[in-house]
Amino acid sequence: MNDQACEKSVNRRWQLSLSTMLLLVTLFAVGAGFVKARHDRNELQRLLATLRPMTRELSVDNPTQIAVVRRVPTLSNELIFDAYIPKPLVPTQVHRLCLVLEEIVDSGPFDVLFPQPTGSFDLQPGIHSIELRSTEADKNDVNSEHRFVVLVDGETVIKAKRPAVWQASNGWTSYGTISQSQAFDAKEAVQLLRRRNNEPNKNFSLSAPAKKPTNGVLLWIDSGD
Amino acid sequence: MAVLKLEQQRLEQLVGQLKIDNPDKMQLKMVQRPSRDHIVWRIYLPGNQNWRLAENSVGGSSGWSSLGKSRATEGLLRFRIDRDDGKSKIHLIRNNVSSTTSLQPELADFLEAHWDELDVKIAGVDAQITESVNAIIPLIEIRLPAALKSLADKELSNLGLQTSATIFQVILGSEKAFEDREKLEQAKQNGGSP
Repeated sequence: MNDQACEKSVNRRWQLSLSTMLLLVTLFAVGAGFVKARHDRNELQRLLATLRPMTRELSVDNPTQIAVVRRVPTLSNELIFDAYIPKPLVPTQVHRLCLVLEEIVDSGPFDVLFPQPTGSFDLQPGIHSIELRSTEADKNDVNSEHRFVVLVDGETVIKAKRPAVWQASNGWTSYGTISQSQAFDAKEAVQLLRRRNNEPNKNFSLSAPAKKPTNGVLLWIDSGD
Repeated sequence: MAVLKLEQQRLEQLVGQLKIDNPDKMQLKMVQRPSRDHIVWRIYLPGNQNWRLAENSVGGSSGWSSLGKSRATEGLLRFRIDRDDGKSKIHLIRNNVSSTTSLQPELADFLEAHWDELDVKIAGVDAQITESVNAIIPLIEIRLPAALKSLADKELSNLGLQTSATIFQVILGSEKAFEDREKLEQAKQNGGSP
């Protein structure tokens, strides 16, 4: 009798009612579905993170900030940015597009990093395309010139030219590029391009000398503060 | 989730689709062709390799640029011939790496005039290409067909072209695959086996 009771109690431990089974199966299905959905979402976000740098679209998440991205170039020397300029913080604030071709450094205090511009153009609030077109001087013609044209929304706004000797040797060193849409404080100076002309160094190769101003191209958006 | 899927579809309309079935192999597909000599591929390159993109044109320039990456990368590779100010240049652009090569004026004129008659092969036009990291993939290859041989002899006499000769090509492969090919060619020149 005792054995029977014991056997019964052992069997009862593994018995589940139909409703409990249904509940457990439902919970498992919900849990598995949740894990799958999270996995799919992560995969999709990973895929989007791969796709976005290929399209380089301007993203304006905060309309009080400057947003900039360099477009995917279709030519090696093509340099076009899409930029969002916010409304001024104070009525006197003007965002200016600035170009400098001399005295360009790689580091230093703000007024050395961003000197008085060679040319500038006031940018109105809104989305603009900003393009720099540059043509190198003919190496075989000492009288030829380097030419620079800055266009905003397809219109020429800054023009500059320099004699062939402005760039003594081939090549330059570029510093950073905004290859994904980036937001900046509306008071910040936003560097679009810092390119310093190379010079022969003691290793008989070409590089832009550190801590020494050089000719080159510096294009930035000044906050006007 | 639905918003993310819509975003994926929108972006893939711009840059095409590439399925990475095997992350250890090179994978590519042509995704845009804005003009006959402006081609964009979507490319996946496995990690732990350095990559080379090389171009050769008959009787003229050849060179390569390193895409040196130790981790797997996916992106767009653009080939474009640009004619500006009477000069033709080949632009190869991948992410932030780009190179420009000048084409010989006679060759540039010949390509411009006879592009549609030349034997032009472009990788990944109809279907995605999947290749081992030991392979070298010709992305674009332009050959001289027999029908154009006499014309080429006249217009490109200085280049001494043979029928079926490769006039121009852009090839992509791992540094090791290029080195292996160079060793093989060296061995052939020396008359021995590799």
